Amino acid sequence: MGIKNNAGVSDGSLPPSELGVAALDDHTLQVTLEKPLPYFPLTTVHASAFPTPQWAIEAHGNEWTRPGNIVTNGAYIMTEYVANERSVRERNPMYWNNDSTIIEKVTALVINDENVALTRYMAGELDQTNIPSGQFNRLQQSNPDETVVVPELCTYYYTINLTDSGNPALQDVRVRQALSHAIDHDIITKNILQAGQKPAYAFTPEATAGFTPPASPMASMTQAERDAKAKELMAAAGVDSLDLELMYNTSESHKKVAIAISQMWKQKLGVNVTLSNLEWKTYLDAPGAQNYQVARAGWCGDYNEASTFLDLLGSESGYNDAKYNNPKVDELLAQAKVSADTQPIYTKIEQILATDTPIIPIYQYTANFLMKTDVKGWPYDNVEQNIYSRDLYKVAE
Amino acid sequence: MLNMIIRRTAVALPTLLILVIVTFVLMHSAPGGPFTSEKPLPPQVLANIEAKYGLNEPLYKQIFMYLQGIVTELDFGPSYVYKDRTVNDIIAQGLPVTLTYGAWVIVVMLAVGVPLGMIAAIKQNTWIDYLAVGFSILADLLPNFIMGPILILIFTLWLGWLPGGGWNGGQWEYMIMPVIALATSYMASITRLTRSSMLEVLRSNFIRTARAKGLPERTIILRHAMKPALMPVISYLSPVFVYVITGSFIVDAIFSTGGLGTYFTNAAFNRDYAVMMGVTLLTGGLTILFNLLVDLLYGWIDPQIRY
Amino acid sequence: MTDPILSARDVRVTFDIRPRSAMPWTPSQKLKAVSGVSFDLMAGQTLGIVGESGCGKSTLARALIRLVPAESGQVVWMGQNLLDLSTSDMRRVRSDIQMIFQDPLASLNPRMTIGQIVEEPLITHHPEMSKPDRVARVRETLDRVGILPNMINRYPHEFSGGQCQRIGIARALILKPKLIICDEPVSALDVSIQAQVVNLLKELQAEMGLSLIFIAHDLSIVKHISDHVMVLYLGNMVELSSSADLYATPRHPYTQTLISSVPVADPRYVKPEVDKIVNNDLPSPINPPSGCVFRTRCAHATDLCSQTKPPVDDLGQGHLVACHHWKTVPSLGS
Repeated sequence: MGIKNNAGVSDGSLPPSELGVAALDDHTLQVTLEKPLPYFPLTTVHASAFPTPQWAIEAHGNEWTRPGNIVTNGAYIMTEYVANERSVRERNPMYWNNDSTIIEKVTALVINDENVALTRYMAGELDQTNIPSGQFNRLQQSNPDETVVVPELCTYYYTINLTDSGNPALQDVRVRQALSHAIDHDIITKNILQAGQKPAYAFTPEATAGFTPPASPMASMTQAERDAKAKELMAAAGVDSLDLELMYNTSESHKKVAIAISQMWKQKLGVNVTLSNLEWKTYLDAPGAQNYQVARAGWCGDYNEASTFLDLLGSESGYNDAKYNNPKVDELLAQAKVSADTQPIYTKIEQILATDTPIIPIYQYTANFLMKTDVKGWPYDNVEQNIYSRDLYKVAE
Repeated sequence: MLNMIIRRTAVALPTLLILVIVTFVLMHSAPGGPFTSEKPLPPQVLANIEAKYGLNEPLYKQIFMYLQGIVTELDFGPSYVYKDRTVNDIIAQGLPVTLTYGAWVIVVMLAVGVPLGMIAAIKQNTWIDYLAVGFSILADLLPNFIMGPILILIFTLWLGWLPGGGWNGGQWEYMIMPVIALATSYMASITRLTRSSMLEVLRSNFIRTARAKGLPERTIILRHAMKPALMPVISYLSPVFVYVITGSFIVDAIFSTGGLGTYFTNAAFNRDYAVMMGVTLLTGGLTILFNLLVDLLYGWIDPQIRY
Repeated sequence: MTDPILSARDVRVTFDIRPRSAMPWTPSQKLKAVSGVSFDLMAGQTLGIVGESGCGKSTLARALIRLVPAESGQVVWMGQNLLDLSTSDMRRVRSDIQMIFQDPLASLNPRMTIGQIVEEPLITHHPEMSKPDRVARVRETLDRVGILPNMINRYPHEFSGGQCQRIGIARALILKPKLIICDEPVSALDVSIQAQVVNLLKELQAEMGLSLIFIAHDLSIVKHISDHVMVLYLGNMVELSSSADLYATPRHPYTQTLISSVPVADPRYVKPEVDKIVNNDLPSPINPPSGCVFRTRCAHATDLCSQTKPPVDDLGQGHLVACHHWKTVPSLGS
């Protein structure tokens, strides 16, 4: 979050007292930043910014998060926690706005199998649950009032390794653009995912507050035009045969998307794609070490501002798996941090990204779930999925 | 006999030690670690956390520290994922759950499987026999990952009799479906095993002798035929006991029982090293224990076996 | 002449055979293991039954005491037909008729001590007996058959084959039966042990007035112990006579073959010429030859033999033979 002396305190070279955080009085917290950060207030809703009393941690050590030990200042108190089974929250009478809390007790159940969760929802055991993949359309038909689809602050994309360890042909921007153009986004969202996802032609999802991503030239083309352009680009790059390795973490839906895209590349551009799937933790290591050619990735914003996405492609970013390095982008990112009007700056960055194509945005995530119609107060437009039970209530039907 | 117990225990310790070392090395040679995530931690923070858990030490030292913790304090280490819990806590929470439903599974599969197999053998080629064999084939066609959801569909969604999952401190209505789902296929195997070994025993010479003595059929079955007929069942039970007691991953996942089973796979996926070690050691230890118990049981049933 | 203690009349045993590949609805095949055998056994006497493996001698013995169900016929034991008795009445009779078996070790429950094995019939048939009485009886009986009573707590596998058979005999004797059926009791034993066991049985018979049915596949053993000998072939009785008669003047070609194959411990002895068995394969009892069952291997077979089953002719003094040509078949040694 750019708090002053964060790095020094973390590595132990500075005492914790040097951290740019101070309590001025009982109701005032002062945070000193390394440099101006216009969206700083937005980041404070992230769970990592929630206050925790030092004495509670000192008193309970590692067990400070257990029910009975944990001290929070929310509308609910965690009263029961059985790992892998359930957690229970009950009304906190000490909460400052306790009078507005309506629901007395909220139980979260861990159900590993989404289809079992769906059955239990249908049996009336649950008020809200996720929709298993592939069931969205059916449920929208059978339970239209209970099926909810809301945008999420997340983008699904393919990242391209631009370093020497990648495929040399991908160093050529025209090849990257060709690959991007050859992907039929609508087929992915409408025919494969089928759960209300939107195609992504920019890295920043449309749901992001305060920034409307520019219309990419690709977005306004028909797929036939894109395909023609893709072939043209490949021809211009002088590549007539290309073998690519596409990596994704083991999952049925990543696999479906990867197969579809590899088919598109094969049919339209004659690119031979080898699919490789890796178990999650193994997969996490590979792209970070530039041990890939093209890899599936996803990113969800930590706060509702475009920089949570675009910062990823700064040359210094630890999450820049493409090792994309464009001084112009770095400069614009720095500029945005101190600018009051970020729209033109972010627009410019998205335009550069659309041209350079270090990543290929594929679709914008949606959250879809089933919820009983008697549950009210759901913050549908909270794209960060910060849902507070204190806002919810149930109506008698 | 005592000699054998001592001998086997003496062999068990190096076996477990090798198990620890092999698991440790395999675990750490897999890419990624407990704290790798989609949003990697800043290197300094990662280093701090790893130092806290001693993960920055060389592997042999980590193994030594781990063993030292076990030997001196019976401490199986912390979980890196459930950060407020130690492995001891996790086992203390998960094992009673799996022990409870596991015990019921064993009771059910034996209480149904053994008598059914015996009756089928005694009444060979009658409708009872066909029914028992048919049942056991059907049960094999319905493994627990299919049985589970079907049971939930029937008893939760359609009939509304039972809760579709959870544990809730082990109330009986939460236990019925996991027990049935897990017990069915074992029950079928035990039925078939008992039936075929009973058939074999009933054809053996000493049963013929017992008949010639003029003993009542009931005495022949219970006193002469049952024990030898159960020998194959007993050797089949040892791994089943361990598996059932340490929990089934599938049953724990489907019914969200919070049992130990989920930790087997989850700990591996999460690179939750100490939890993985803990459940591996628990399984290894129980396997050795049950093999010993089964061998002792063998000795009790069959005096021809001497240790 | 006194009444026989046991008399069998036209006993038949048929097994249903189902091939492994059979479907549930395919009819099973019939195996005629014993097809109509009759004999009388006098109290205190021994009937030997001989024949090749598979001739039905063991099945016959088991059918007598209903270890296998007989299809038809009568087995009259001291005035009552055993085949008609209820299960509980039959169990009572079993204390009078005991059986000992061919494989002495396998016939003893390996999970029981020999004391328990020998004692068990007493518990079933004499529940009124006290434990010390039973133990005393077990020790006494074991002692009688030559097993030291201090071995009472050992398991069968700790004994040799001959000892196991002695234990088997003790188990049969413990109820003080009137008849013991010995189903090839010595076939599995060494020759030297065989004689000991046979002598033991003879002694016991003399002491206790036992009747014996003694089954064997070779005639030499049977000769020592039997008063009468019955020769079975493929489930049919082919010859029955007193032991002396049978060995001196066997009339059935099959009996002659059997006797000529007995080795004689005399180097000067010249074996008499017998018409050799034509064909060495025993026909299948599922599909036995028509007429005389022996005709496929008989050197004297004629058309008549394949058409009608030979009647049982009485040659006098209880010498019975089932052969169309017994008059013309040359007698042994002549």
